[in-house]
Amino acid sequence: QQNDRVALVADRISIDSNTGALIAEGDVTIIRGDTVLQTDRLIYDETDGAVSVPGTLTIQQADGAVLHADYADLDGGLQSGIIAGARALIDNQLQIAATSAQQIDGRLTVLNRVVASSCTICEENPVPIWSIRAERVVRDADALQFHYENAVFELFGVPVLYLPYFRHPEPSVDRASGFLSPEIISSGNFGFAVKLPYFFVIDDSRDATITPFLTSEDGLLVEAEYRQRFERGALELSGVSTLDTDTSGDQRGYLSALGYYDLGNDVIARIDATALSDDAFLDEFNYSDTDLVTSELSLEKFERSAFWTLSTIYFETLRTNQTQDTVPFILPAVEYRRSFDLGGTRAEVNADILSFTREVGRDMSRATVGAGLDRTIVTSPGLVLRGFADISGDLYSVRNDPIRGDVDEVRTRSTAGLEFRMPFVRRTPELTQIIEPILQLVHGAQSGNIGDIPNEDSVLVEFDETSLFSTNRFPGEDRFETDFYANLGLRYESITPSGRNITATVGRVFRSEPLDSFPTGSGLEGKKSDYVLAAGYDVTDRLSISASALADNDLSLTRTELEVDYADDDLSLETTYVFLEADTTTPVDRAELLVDVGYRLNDNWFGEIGFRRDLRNDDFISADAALSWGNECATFEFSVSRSFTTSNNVDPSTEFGLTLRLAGLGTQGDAAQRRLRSCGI
Amino acid sequence: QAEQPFSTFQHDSSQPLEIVSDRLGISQAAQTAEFVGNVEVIQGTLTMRAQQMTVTYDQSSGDIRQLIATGDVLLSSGSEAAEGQRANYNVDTGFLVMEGDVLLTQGQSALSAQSMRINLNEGTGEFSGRVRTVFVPQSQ
Amino acid sequence: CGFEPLYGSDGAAAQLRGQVRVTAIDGRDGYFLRERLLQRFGRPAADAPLTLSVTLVTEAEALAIRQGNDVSRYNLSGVALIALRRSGVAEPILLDEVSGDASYNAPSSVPPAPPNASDVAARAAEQDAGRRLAQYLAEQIADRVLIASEQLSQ
Repeated sequence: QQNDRVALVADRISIDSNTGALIAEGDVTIIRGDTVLQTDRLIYDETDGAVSVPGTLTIQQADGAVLHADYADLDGGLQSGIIAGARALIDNQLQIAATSAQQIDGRLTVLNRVVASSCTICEENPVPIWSIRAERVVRDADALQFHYENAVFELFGVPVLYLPYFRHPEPSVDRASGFLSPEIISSGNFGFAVKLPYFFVIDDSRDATITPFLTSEDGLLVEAEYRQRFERGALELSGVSTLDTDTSGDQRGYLSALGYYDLGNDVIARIDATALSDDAFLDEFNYSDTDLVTSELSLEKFERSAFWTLSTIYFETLRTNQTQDTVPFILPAVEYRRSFDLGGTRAEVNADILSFTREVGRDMSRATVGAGLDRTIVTSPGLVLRGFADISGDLYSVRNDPIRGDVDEVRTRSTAGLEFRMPFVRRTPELTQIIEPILQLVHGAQSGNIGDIPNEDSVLVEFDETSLFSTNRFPGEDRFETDFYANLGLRYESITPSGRNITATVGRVFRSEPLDSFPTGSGLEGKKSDYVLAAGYDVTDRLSISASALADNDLSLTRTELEVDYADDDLSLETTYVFLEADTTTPVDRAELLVDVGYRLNDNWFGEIGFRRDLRNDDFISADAALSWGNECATFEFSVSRSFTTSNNVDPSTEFGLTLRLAGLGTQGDAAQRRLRSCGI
Repeated sequence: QAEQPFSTFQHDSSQPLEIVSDRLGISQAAQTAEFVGNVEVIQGTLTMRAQQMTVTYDQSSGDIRQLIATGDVLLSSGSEAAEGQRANYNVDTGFLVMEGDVLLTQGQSALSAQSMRINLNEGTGEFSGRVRTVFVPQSQ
Repeated sequence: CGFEPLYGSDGAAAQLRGQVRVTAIDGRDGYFLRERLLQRFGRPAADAPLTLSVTLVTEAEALAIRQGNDVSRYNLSGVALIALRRSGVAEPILLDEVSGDASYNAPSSVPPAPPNASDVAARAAEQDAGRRLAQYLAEQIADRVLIASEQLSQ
């Protein structure tokens, strides 16, 4: 490699063949392989092949690092030598200054008396936010790591941490073992706490993160995550455990597994399971405020017009007013659907099995088989006529139902209906609109006595614009929409070529007989349902409004959901207003306002405020705010969140969080975008 | 020890200076002679070729004082060669100046510049005008 | 008032029936979305000139939380990204997205009374919301494709 040719370009070259000296002056550039050295004056000594650069120089190294120095003595091939006053810029992010540096084989390898930082250092802000001073730094070119000896970490110029040895990956490295940014949290539940995650690369397809979580009031916890990628699947195990036994002496924590595996010909196995030590742990240590933990194992296969799923589901309740032994355990839940064409008619066959047991309370097993036909014809004046019918049979086996005791029942259900649609279109260059009146005449029938079968899965009935033109509006199969009913409504959609769009739906359901299995307050009771009113308006590609409401006979609103979203480069606003009249599932009115505002003040500052307010009891449910400041080398994030509700025997608490993320030590997503702000500008 | 550039570009002023060309025109008044067509000047190991050369003589001794060559000028000496469009060789001072896309080649090394100024007595030289050179570094 | 039957006249929409092939859409909700599209566009002929591909992304957010911090209502919001192409041609002639919401109640209660619906009911309500949302988006997609075929043919 030594005989690599060297190219030299300069304004003047003078040669003194007696002394063997070649002197290049004026905008001198010397190139060898990928190394480029630029200076104003350079002396190349023919006799020993040495290149000495008396004045300031810059070297663009093979690995992309740009190095500035006061002077240097290098070998002819620019590969090795001593560089004085070296200042290197690695991957355009990390700046390193050293009083002297040794370059071996074209790579900056040893630096002495070093200051390293990824912050832009200019006259107006000479003190970088963070910097690391070290006696000596060795740069490992193969592992792309920087090893610091006797390093002092400085924040705003003040030494805050001394480390005899410290290592970090080069900025270009996006996956290397090492410490991640620390997190400082304070919470009403566990007091003051620090998290210092360590990311550990096992091999190309496996890595893990271990995070000591030191709290002032509950001692030390350890979080661990393990991720593995297979050729046809992936698995993620995560868990937390208290190390020293707290007051009650037992170990607390959780362990969860999330993963999938393709077993071949599109059959996929999935796991999403969590084991908990106690009900309050997740909420108390800020992991989640859920009131139910669902664990599911499933097999599934999805094709273009068919699928089957087979799963078992374990619900673990964290609710204070519910004991685990009354919670059902589903084993199995099976669903099979296939649709195909019979000439002009679309046909579907389906089957499902649901079997669950409880320690205390009702167990139930149900098998259903069904088939349906659906045919649409377009008549000449533009009327779209659709006929549909389906029939299914259920086999029920109920044990220790509190009212009915044991029940074994066979039931058949059927629906038959006609749908009339007459869409009209109005075409103008700037707007195209479609108005579509829809009428569905449906008859539902079922055999046997509906009261014999307990209603387990059809309690939570929903009536809105998405179920207005549906047949059988019960979510499950334990209940069925029978007798004659007519869904009458109107759909409207308009769009401008630029994409501004309005959609609207209005309608009502008329019944021959009231159906008492519809829960009161669902809007479907009586012979005439509530009015469904829904509209969506994308004002611009930044602002969108959507509303959905139910109004009773005298047009007073029984339910309203209104959402306004706005987002541009600097401001994002999400507001949701909900009003729900009392119904059987929730015996009290509910009214809530949810607001989330994010605002970017400038390149550095970003603020976020969010709250959820219970308008009926006129107080807050939760509120949070976050402020982050970031530039090309560091991001500070301060967050505060408060939950005002008492839940799972955890009283209202406020959490503060402070995170400091350093850029330039391995790839940092956003900080890298605000790269070097050149000085003064 | 590799050869240094220009080490061979030295002229031995004791050697006779011999000029050959297709045609020759002499102007007594200006004391000059104009050689035209495949002109070649030889002095010891140093030779210079050009399309046209104007030589000025010393009035009394008749020695050649200056040579001005134009058109594909080539100066060579054993292993080294320098070519350019124009050259001015002042025999008394030993200075030779070559201009116009000068290209110096020596073994594996080559050097290009707009102008080259060599002191043939001391073997030193200077190039200017965006000089470009490629050479093989010494193994340390 | 300028409105005329969409399928009546010789409008582009009228010829659209049976001309749109719908590619597979992932998941359970994808099945229902695709079925509703086939219902609106009719069975595609083997050499249907248009191919519609849809990507459905849904996300459930807590809509209403009550004092006991238990969520009493969820909002399943969905976005469907659609691409309409002339069969066999990569360059789409329509790239668009439609969005919608479907809410569903969660088992809720006023402690100390136990919740009035079991988690089996909650799972059924959640799955039903997914189906309803998919079918609702399918209606909007069908309209958007009809409108696009109108504008394309002008």
